[in-house]
Parts: sequence; C-alpha cells; structure tokens
Amino acid sequence: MTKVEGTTLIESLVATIIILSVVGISSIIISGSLRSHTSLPELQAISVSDSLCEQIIKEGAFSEREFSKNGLKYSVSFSTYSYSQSILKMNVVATNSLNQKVGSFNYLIPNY
Amino acid sequence: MAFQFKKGKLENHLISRFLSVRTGGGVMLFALFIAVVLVLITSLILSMNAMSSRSNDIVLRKHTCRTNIRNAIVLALAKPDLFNTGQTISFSLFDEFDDSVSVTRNFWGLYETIFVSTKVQDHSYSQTVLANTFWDNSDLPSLWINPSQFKCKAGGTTIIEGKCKVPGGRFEKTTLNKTPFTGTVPVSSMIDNTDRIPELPDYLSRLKFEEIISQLPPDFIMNKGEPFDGYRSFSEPCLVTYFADNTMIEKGNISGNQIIICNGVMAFSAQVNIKDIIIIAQSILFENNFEGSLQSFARDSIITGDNCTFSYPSAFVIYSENNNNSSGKISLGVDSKLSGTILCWSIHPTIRNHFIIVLSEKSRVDGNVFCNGYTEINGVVVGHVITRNTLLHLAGGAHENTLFNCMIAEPEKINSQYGLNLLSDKEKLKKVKLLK
Repeated sequence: MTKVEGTTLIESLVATIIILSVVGISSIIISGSLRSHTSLPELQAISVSDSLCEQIIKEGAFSEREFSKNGLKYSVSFSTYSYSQSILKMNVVATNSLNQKVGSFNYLIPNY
Repeated sequence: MAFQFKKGKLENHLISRFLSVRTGGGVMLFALFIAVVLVLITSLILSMNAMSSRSNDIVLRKHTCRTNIRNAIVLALAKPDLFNTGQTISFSLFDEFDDSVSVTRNFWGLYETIFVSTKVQDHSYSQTVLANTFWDNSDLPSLWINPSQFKCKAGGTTIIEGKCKVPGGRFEKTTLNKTPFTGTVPVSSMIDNTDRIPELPDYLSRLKFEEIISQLPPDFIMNKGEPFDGYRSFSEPCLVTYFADNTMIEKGNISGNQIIICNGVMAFSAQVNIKDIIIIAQSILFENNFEGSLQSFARDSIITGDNCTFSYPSAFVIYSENNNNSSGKISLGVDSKLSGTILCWSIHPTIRNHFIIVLSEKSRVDGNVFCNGYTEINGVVVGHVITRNTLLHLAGGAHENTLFNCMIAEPEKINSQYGLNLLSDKEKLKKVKLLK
C-alpha cells in the first residue's frame, strides 16, 4: 500500500482555483444581494416626508419647495385633490444623486 | 534527431517529476475547509440580508397602509356625502399602485363611525374613527330660554357667562332664601331678547326612540344571551344584545362595538366597565359611583346615582313621540360629571307631560344641554343650555325661569367640542376619537 505524504502541485493549483472561485462567487452574490435589496434610502425618504407633512400642516406653509437631506433630493408640490376642492394634495418626490426616483408620497390635507 | 528526442523525453520527465512533488501538508483538505467556511459565511450574510430586506419591505408596506388610511380618513371627514351611511365604498385614492381603500360610514348614536381599511400586497390595516357633524357651537348662546311671561331671575352665587337669549333681554338679580345675589351675569350688550327655540331638525329624527332601533348598523349580530365581555372591535360586525325584561348588569366589561337594547328598565352597577357603547331602553339607571363613556337612549327616564362620571363622548337622550303622554326625565346625580350632550325633547309636548332635566348639586356638565321642557340647574354647565324654561325647587315652592347658586360658563377652546350643537348640521365631519 502506497503511503501518501503530501499534496502534489497540481492538487495545490486545483485547491487555489476552488478557493478563488468560491470567494469570487460569494462576493458577487453578496454584493448583488446588497445592491438589489437595500431599502434604506426609501425608509429615509419616508421619515423625512412624514415629518415634512406634519410640519407643513402645523405651520400652514403650503408652498412648493425643493431641498436636499442626507444625500437625497426632495421636491414638494401641491395641487387640489380631484375628489374634493376643499382638500389639498401634497406630493413629495425623493430622488438620489443619480436622479433616480427613490420614492413618491401623497398626503391629503384638509383646508378647514 | 536522437538528441532532440532525448531532450523532449527529459523535459517530460522533469515536468512529470515537478508535478508529482508532494508538499509537506494537506493543501487540498485545507482548501476544501476554506471553501466550506466561505460558503457558510456567504449563506449567513445572504440570510441576514434577506431578513433585513424583508423587514424593510414590511416597514414600507405598513407605511403605505398607514398613509392610505390617513388619506382616506381626511377625505371621508371632509366629504362625507361621498359615502352613504351603511354602504362600503372601495376606490383608489390617486389612481396609482397600492392605494386602494374601502370606507364604511355608519351612524353611532349622536355620532358617526368611519371605518377605513386597506390592503398592500399581503399586509392589511384598518382604523375606525368616531366623528360628528354637529361641531359648530359658534352661533349657540350660552343660555337660551324660550319667550315667557316670567323674566329670568338670578340669585345667590349664580354665574352666567357668554351671550344669552332670555325673556325680556335681561336678568333680574334677586334675593332668594334670604341670600342676596353675589354672582355675575353678562353685561346687557351680551343679552338679547329671546326668540322661540326651533323644533329639532328633521335630520335628527333618526334619534327618536321610535326610530333608533331601525337605524342599527347593517350586518349586526343579534344576541339574546350575555353581552360580549371585553372591548368589541369596530372592525367586527356590531353585536346587539337584547333583554326582554327589566335587567340589572352587576359586573363585567361591556365596551366597543356593542348595543344593549332592553324592553324595560336597564340598570348598571358601579362594577360594570362601559366604554363607547350605545344603550337603548325604556328607562336607564346607573348606580352611585358608576364610571364609563356611553350613549344612552331612553323613552321615559335616565337617572344616575351620586358621584358618577360619564366621560367624553357621552350622551343622554330622551327624544320621543311621547304617544302615551308620559313625562320624560334625565337626572344627573349629586357630585356627578358628564362630558358630552344631554337631549330631553318631546315631539308632542302637552301641558300634562313635562320633560325635565335635573342637574343636581355639585354636578358638572362639560357640554350642551337641550330641553323643550324644564331644566333644573343646581351645578355647573361648561357649555350651552337651550331650554324652554329653567326650574328651581326651594322650600317655598317651585320657581320658573330662576337660577340659584349655579353656573353656566363659556367653554375653553379645547372643551368646545364636548357639546354638540344639534341645531346645526355641518357638511363636514370632525374627528372625535380613534376607536379600536
């Protein structure tokens, strides 16, 4: 019976290729997963939009505006709601630095 | 050629030897170990990422649901005529993705309930709001007494605030029980000569004792056993519990989306916990120390013991055709409090049936009192009193249109919603509270 004492060079090469492949594939999967599933900007936009709506109702300052916060750009517009003339529709659109829409939120505000 | 052959053979031999050289350790086993570890780490990261992503998705869906509910409530309150009572209307708020809502509007005694529900993917959410259209008290005098030959007299420590409509357009300060007048009445510019208190508007006919049972919410469940013990959610069908005879409920928690109907006298002990329900009975009694928030509709009487508390929004209503010519009486006991509205109104008043409200000593009403009979005020009303006559019982007898040791105060802004102005039905609803 032949006693194996170590690993041949070809086996080392195969082992290296296996490790590199696994590392590569893992990195691709993890980075892809992170990129496709993260919702943090939208959550951030929700929080900012909700606070903004409360602030606008409290202050009664129904003026259109644009501003940036934490890397997101917000655009606020007002229009009359189609179902009732006595209701304002406030729309907040949040975009990222690539000008991609992160979220769009509608709020109805009674004007009485 | 021979040399070249030998050289090629030598190279193959060297390569073969080089490839078959064995190192000292198990590189292959090590590589497999590293690969397995990496796969495990990748799986862990992926699963954590998936959980985080799912959690974020749930937050986003919940936010969309909450925003839909909020927007639908704003619409229903501002434009109630879009939603007929007893019907469920489903629609898209902005004709966009994930913004469908359903709105159901129902009467709930003097108030109304707006039930709103929405579903975003597999996440659904609902909310019920208690609201009313009788929120504008701006034109209502603090005290309005029908035209009468008896001028309005104020005695003792009586304090009257705000605009008043009283016979003759002024108060007569008088000494009663040998006690001179030490209170305050409004200046003359705040007092008008009175005019006739109008009949209750047609839109209130749904509150008549003879009508209210036919106004039960649709899809209600009739129950002839014990009432539901606990808070019944307004997202479930209304539970109507019927008692055929005089009934005393001694303990339990009867709250939420429930109506108790009794074809006799309905009595509640202080151990009963009641919140947001409607009670309909010939007569309704509450023991001393009772606490709760409810709307009572009776044909004959609503009598409370002493030291009772009826929290906002509560209501005592006797509004009946009065076909058997009997009297109606609402009595708030000594040291008792009510936040809400009291209505004691006969549709066919005659000289023989006196509808009367008695507010006992040290009692307090935060809200409005409407009566087309007599109102006896011995405590405090922070709100408005609209009555045909006031009444005072002293040792010497009964005095009409006389106020003694009582107070009718103007409500602060925050309390101005406690009492409903039943004479003014606005086109918009105002939120009273969120219901479970």
